[in-house]
Amino acid sequence: MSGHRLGLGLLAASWQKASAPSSLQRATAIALPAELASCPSASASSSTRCYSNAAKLPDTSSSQPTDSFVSPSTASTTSSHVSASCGHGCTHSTLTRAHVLPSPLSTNSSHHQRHTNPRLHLIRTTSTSATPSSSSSSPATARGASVDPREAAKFAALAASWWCTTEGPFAPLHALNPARVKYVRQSLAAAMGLDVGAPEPLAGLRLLDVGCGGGILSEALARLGAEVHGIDVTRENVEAARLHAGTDPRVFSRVRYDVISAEDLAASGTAMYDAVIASEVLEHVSKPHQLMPVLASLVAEGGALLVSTINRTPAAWAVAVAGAEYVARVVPPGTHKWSKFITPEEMAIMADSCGLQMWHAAGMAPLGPHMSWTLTNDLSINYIATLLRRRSEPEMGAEQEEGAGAGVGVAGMEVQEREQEGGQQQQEAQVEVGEQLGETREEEKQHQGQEKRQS
Amino acid sequence: MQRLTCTILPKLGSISRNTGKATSLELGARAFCSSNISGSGTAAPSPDDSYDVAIVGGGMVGAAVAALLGASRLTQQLRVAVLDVKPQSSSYTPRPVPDLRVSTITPGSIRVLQQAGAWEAVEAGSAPFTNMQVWDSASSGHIRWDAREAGATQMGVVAENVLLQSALLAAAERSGGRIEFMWPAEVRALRLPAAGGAAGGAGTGAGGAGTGAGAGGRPHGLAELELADGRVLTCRLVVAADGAASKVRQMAGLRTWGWSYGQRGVVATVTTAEPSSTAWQRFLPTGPLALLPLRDGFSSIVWSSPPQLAQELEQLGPREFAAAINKALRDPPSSALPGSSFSSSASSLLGPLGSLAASLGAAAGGSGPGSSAFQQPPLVVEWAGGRPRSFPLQLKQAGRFVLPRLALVGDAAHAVHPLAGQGVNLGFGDARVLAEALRSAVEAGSDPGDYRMLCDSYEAPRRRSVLAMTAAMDGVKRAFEVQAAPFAALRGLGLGLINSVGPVRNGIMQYAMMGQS
Repeated sequence: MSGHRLGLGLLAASWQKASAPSSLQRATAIALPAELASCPSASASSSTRCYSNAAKLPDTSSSQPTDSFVSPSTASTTSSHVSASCGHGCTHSTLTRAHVLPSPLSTNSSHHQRHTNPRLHLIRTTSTSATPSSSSSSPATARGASVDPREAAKFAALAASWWCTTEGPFAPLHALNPARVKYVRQSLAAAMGLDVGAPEPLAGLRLLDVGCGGGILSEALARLGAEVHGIDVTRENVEAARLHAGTDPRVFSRVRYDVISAEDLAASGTAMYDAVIASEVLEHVSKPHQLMPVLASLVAEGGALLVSTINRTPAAWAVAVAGAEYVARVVPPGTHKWSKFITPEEMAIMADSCGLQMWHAAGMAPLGPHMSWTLTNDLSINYIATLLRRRSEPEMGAEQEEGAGAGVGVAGMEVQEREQEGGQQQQEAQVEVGEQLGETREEEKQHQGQEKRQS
Repeated sequence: MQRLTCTILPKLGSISRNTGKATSLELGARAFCSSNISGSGTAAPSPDDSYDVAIVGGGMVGAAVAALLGASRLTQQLRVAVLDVKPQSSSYTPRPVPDLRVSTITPGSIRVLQQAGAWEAVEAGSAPFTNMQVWDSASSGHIRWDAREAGATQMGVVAENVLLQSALLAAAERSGGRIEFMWPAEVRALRLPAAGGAAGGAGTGAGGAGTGAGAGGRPHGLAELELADGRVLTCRLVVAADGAASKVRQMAGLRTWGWSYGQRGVVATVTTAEPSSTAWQRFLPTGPLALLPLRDGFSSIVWSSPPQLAQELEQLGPREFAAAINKALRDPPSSALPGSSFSSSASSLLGPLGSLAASLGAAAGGSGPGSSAFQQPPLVVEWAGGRPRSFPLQLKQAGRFVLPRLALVGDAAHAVHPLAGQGVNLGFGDARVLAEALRSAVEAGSDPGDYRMLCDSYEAPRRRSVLAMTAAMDGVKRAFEVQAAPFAALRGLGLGLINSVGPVRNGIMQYAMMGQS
């Protein structure tokens, strides 16, 4: 059924902000140990984040999380005792905020409100965590005295839900995964001159999976040989991803997950990756044009940024919003907002503003109900694109995409760079869009110039 | 301590016929634990015993899977183990008289053999046939197929099973894959993870999580095979290729449905008065009798007969056995007068329809050099090599072909009647589809044992093909069992009609030759 197209933004749920913290959160918040209470960072307006990898922390007062997809809640690993400096001169061990996001299965789509009680800001993760109950029902066997069995059970249940490939809320993501992994494989191989027919073509590459969720994409990329760093702002997702990665030793050795936002990771200044992949993320961010430069800054020289999202077309509304949320009900209503979908032209414009150029793009669609997805020429609903650093002269062939799809004509356009003063208004940009991957069809080489004014 | 559960999620409603336990249609979780659960897989799998694919059973189909995996670049790096309880040989020396167990290989299977790199060896030791004739004993209808009408040089070949097996094992050995053969190795226990895959990590919580260098200390979500010598192999996918009485399938808790045909198949190697390149099959009241050409002028007999008759046949000496065969093959049809033509018997029974058939039959009979006209099979002289042996015939199909990290191939998934010689061809089809599914999985970075991939890319297409073929064969068999005169005449009429209408006749041949993907 066409409703299956939707669900991929299931990842969406992880970005959805819940309403006020649930009563469970408040109820289980515990008093701060003295050292934490005195931490100057325990203020209502600051968002303190401490990382297990002891990265340099940003100045918390100025780095208000943008309303993009950053949730104020981050946490480090559960039992790790690595202490991190929060930049304020005090040392905390693992910390988290009180208002940890509810499970991605929640249906709330309204914005999350920051928990303002300073005393409840910093809570040790290792004891009890203020997390709302999710679908956990079976007590898990805890290992180690510092692990809350309820926590472990919740993560285990969530991991099981994420990785139930045949049914459940994340099954559509599993159906989508083969198509996007094949695209990443072919695109990176073409961009970096790798051997696409090798069993592990991405060996030696460092990849960043932004919004990794339960690790569906990260694990697949790890099997292709890459060293994958998956980040997500929702702790539950990261825990679920770690749990599942542990079930296969080969994958476990190649992935690592962290609860951190892309902004914070970029701000640390030390993270550079051969490829950054933001799959099913942009359409859930309120200011994607602010996120894009952040992602671009994480890409190393000669690297690529791959983005998959949903197009803003009538067809996409019919399938991904109406069909998926109301007819087939594969995702909760409100998961996707049509106005936040991004057309390939807009993506190209955003890319251009951070010095990237859209090189390849391909559509993704299911072959049939209950079947895995495949790459197509039709970008009208789901599509994935490769953005490379723009060279001085465009080397990529100017080829027009075929398959107009429902109302989307991504014609070949030229890139012209303009100054960006005053924000992104009044910028004329034309994007040269190359051919799509995945289908070997002869494409006509027509060159059409179009000018678009960015709104 | 840890209970491993497997969830059955039937994708296509499986047919459940035995004793009304139709739980295969119910959604839900069932516990499928192997007979001995000696603990969860908590130990980190030692690198030596860690495999990607473990094929249990080194027969024709198991060897085909191994050879196909080794033949493709994407799957070559998978570490494959082939296990069998008895040592198997990858070298074949033709005996003076061909072995009793032979198989008919269709062109579809020939392509699989070519892909696996085993076709040259098989071609050298097998006998091709260009024609096939099927006729009745209760009526005088017949169908005769000719490969040339489909533009092919042969309809298939007949090869000994040991030749096929050794050729495939040799191909697997010399392919570029990492294939290890382990025999003798008996599987004592099988442990499969649950459908979610993460349930294995339920209890780990934070035990050594973020700082753990490997998966040591936490249960892994892979499958485990415990061998009789105490070794425990961990693998991402277990392929059960151990035949109709598959122990792996039993250990996994998969039930089968089917029935015994109440017949035994008598096999013998015989010599004939003159060589033939035709596969002959006559449907007797007791069951089909097939005479297939073999290498070096020999032929193979496969006679489905009731247990009583089978026992008698086994006791016969070489010449008496041949006499019984000749009588069965050459006796005139019981419902027609000797020497009467097809047209007269049909028209006498069915009036106008019969006359239509008669005219068609006349037209067909008069066309060409009698390519579709009835021919008498060659005279059988005596059996050679070993005395005839028999084996029970049954239909046995597994309710599911896959579970998380488990796939059934060949007779372990579907044992069928030897009628039409389709048995091993279905198995080779399984191997081809499974290898293709694994290729696709490696390309997309999926786990080789991923349940969804196995369901969508292996089980669904194979179920369709196998059920279609089984239904067709079973239908044909039952259609030919009826001996009452009117039905027999109708059957003869049907055969004649099919025989006389070229496209229909050739269409059937194409289906039988190519099989379904």
